Amino acid sequence: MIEIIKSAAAEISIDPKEVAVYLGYYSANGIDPKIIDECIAEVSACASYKACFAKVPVTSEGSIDIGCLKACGKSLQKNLEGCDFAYVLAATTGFEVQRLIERNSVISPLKGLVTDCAGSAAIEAFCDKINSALDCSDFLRPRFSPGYGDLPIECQKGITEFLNTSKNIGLSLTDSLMMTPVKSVTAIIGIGKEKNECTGPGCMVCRKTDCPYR
Amino acid sequence: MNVLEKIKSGITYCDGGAGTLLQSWGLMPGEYPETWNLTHPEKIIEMHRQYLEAGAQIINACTFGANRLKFDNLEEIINAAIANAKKACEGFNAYVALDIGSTGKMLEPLGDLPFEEAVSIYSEVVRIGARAGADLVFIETMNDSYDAKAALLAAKESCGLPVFVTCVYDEDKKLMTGADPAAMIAMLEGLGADAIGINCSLGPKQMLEIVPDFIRDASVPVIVNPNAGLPRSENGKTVFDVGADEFSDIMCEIVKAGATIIGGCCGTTPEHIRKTVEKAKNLPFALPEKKNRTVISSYTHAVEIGKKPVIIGERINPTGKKRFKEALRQNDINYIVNEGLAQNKKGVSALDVNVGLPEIDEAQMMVSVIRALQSVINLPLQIDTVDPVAMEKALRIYNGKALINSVSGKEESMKAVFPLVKKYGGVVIAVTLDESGIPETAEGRIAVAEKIIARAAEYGIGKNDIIVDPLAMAVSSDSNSANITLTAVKALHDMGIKTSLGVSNISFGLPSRADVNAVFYTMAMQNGLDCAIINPFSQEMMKAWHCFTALTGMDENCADYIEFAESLAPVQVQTEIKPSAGLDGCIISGLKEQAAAAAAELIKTTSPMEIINTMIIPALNTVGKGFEEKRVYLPQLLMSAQAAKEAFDAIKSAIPAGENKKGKIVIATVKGDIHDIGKNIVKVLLENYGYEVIDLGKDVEPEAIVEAVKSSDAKLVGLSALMTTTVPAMEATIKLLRKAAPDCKVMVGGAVMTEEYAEMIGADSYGSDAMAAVRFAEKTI
Repeated sequence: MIEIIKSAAAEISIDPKEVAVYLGYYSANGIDPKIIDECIAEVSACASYKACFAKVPVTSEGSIDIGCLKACGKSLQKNLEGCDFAYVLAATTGFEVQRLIERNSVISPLKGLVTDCAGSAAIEAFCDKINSALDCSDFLRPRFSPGYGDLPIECQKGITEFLNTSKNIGLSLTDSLMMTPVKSVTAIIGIGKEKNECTGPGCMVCRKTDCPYR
Repeated sequence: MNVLEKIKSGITYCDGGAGTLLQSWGLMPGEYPETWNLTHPEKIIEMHRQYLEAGAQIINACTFGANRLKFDNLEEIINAAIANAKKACEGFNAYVALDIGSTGKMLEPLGDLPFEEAVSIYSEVVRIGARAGADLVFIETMNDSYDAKAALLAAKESCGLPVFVTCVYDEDKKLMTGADPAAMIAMLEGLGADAIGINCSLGPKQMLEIVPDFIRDASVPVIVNPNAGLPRSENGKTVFDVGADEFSDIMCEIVKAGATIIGGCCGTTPEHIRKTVEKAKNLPFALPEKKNRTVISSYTHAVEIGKKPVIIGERINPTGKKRFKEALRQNDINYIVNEGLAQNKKGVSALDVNVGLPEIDEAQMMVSVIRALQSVINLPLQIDTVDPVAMEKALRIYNGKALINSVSGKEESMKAVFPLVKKYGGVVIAVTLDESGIPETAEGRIAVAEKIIARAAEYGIGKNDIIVDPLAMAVSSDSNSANITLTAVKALHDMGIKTSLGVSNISFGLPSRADVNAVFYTMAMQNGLDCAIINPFSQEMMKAWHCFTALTGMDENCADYIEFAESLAPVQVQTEIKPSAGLDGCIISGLKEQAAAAAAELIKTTSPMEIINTMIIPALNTVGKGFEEKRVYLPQLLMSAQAAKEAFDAIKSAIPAGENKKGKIVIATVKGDIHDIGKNIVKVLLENYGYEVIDLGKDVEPEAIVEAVKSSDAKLVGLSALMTTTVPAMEATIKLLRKAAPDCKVMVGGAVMTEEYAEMIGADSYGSDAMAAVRFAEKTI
């Protein structure tokens, strides 16, 4: 059973600090906050947040194998350790955000860049909101997306087909497996039975220790 | 009775959901229902029969997802599907529809499926389906206006069957990609759809809210096929929350609101249809009235011509504009798009697009510009060309119902233009001249207009899709010319014919042209002028329009006028921008205005090359070095780059031709990659450092990159790729370049790139960031 949820733009608050981090700053200091605020406002004004998800069983090997959706790998296995079920999620900010990024890039590369980062922060904020909505009784693992660790990017295909994202939320893949609308996320979220130690911030479980996002 | 006669004779019933029914009979999640046409034909026939017994008169063959992207045995599947449906129909008076859903891939520019590729995919399906004996083509569950256009165009081009089109609207009455019902109605009716409407996503209650929008604007029968409400999970099974009783009650309301073709979509069952047929059969039947309105549209909204005077921005036109011509010659599409964005900001309702220059391929340029404009600006476009080839290419790829500029009373013109208007839809500007020239009297021009309208009717084009331009001619050469034009406008208006003018011709040869134009414009609007091609940057023209609309009751509470007037209030005397820290300081601090002012001041006393070499470049180097040492962040680097660009622009005219051009660099995001933020940043910096950058954009074929390198003789190429999946395209491009242009160096960059990766695919250099690209260019060229 695939469920679809939509959020009004007002329900999603995009954190300027998060945008600054995507821009390469460790804090919002050092960049004119006006341009960040302006781009956040523009993204908020045109975002159309939609997501769809389904609860699926996790195999005894810690992978997912249901119909057209096959996802396995060492890092996913680690992430799903001890989970009997997982959510498969696809979420998007909609096509207007994509058009806005494009438009602002034509006006000025700086504005394009900041809008792009605001879009990234927007989809993350939306996913966080979905997470906390799903989290009421379950202990959710960090979102795990195709391309993380050894989970192949090709897994996008299975997720989008399984969730019928093209019809349900307008999310489709290009031949090279990029998502449109561009500010979208697909992920597998393990449902733990108890509070697991790896539920901390996503970045901290990654093995790349020299990343500035940490 | 064929299906077109049927839908005009009474309420017509479609079938309901297939997926839910087939799943309850064993179709697995993720399994394609279309394959059941071959593996379980008896179940498919049984499904159809249940709907036919319930009263459905149009049944969709099980071909929704059948296309060559999903099936190798497409012909076999479609033939079987139509045969199954026909078999089910034996003994019933019903019609078999070839059901066409979206390919599931997004069209360019939002995705990577080229428009013509989509048309070709759908055409194949339609040809097979028509051959197999379908009675009609039913295009449904379309999320995107462009996709719907591709499918409808394919259907019209590939068969002679009736075509129905239904799209998926949200609660906010929009498609996923933004179009509202009015925009879709304009486009789909223009392209010749026989019935249009809504299906899927919403339940009947929500659809009832949208039906009035359709009835208000549509001239063809309206189709409504709702879901059985919203899905929810019950004991692991999907159930929908609107049962057959409630569904059929609301469907009756939908019929009363004006829909005449009804059925169901996801979650609906034969029972839903049976009850609906029972309850709706005695309801009164009335087709929508023919609206006869003059409507153009974009991919989000429609603009009606004939109410408030419509402003069409004239600035995308090379006539008399040196910079614009230069942009066309250099393929600088960004400059042209910015002209559109600026006019959009001024409040125009449509944009004229004229890109004709003798030395360029106009058709190709028209296509590039329209693609670029409609990927970022949602205004309807006016395709302005005398070249029928450019006109057809533009109309084909335009995502909406376009304005077409123009047709004349010359037989040759009408023969070339009217078939295009008929095929693609559109509103065409008819200029009142013919083989004997421009008539000197208002009556003469009206006679030409009437001739054009009569001739259009022979092609099946209504009067409402023609806007007459009775031609404004220079009043300086004939003092009666304004009178003639105004008389013609008034007379045409009284005859119920829409009018447009290229206003500014009137003042040709006179001083203070803007004043003359504005008064003439006002007079013309008073005589009933419906739209005009004007320069929205002319304050006089915008004042005339705002005052006119406020004074004629078209601007409620004068709200728009007040806002406009406030925007004109003199801005507080700007403190004179003084370069605080010299030009180099302004660039380092990223202060655009100050940098421009400083450069303008310096150029009075210093040679441009000295300014560039002793101030601009060293300042850029300082910032660049800081960036390399991670003391300066990307936004600051970009701000400095913009400041440097402003400084360049301020001194550009003083730079002797040929100087400061360091060499040409071709850059592109490779085939399959639709992200270009990084590439754009590299471009700005390279330009800063004096390189001539030929930017091919994103998702660029290897062959196109090679072609650009060969024709420009560039010695360096920059390629960008964001994901591992597009690196092979990068490798293929490099291979091709090595063969075709062995002395051209290649630098690569992008999120997935690393030094090792770059080496592996045979690049000459890996740029970890934009400054690295500049450094490599400095070394190479």
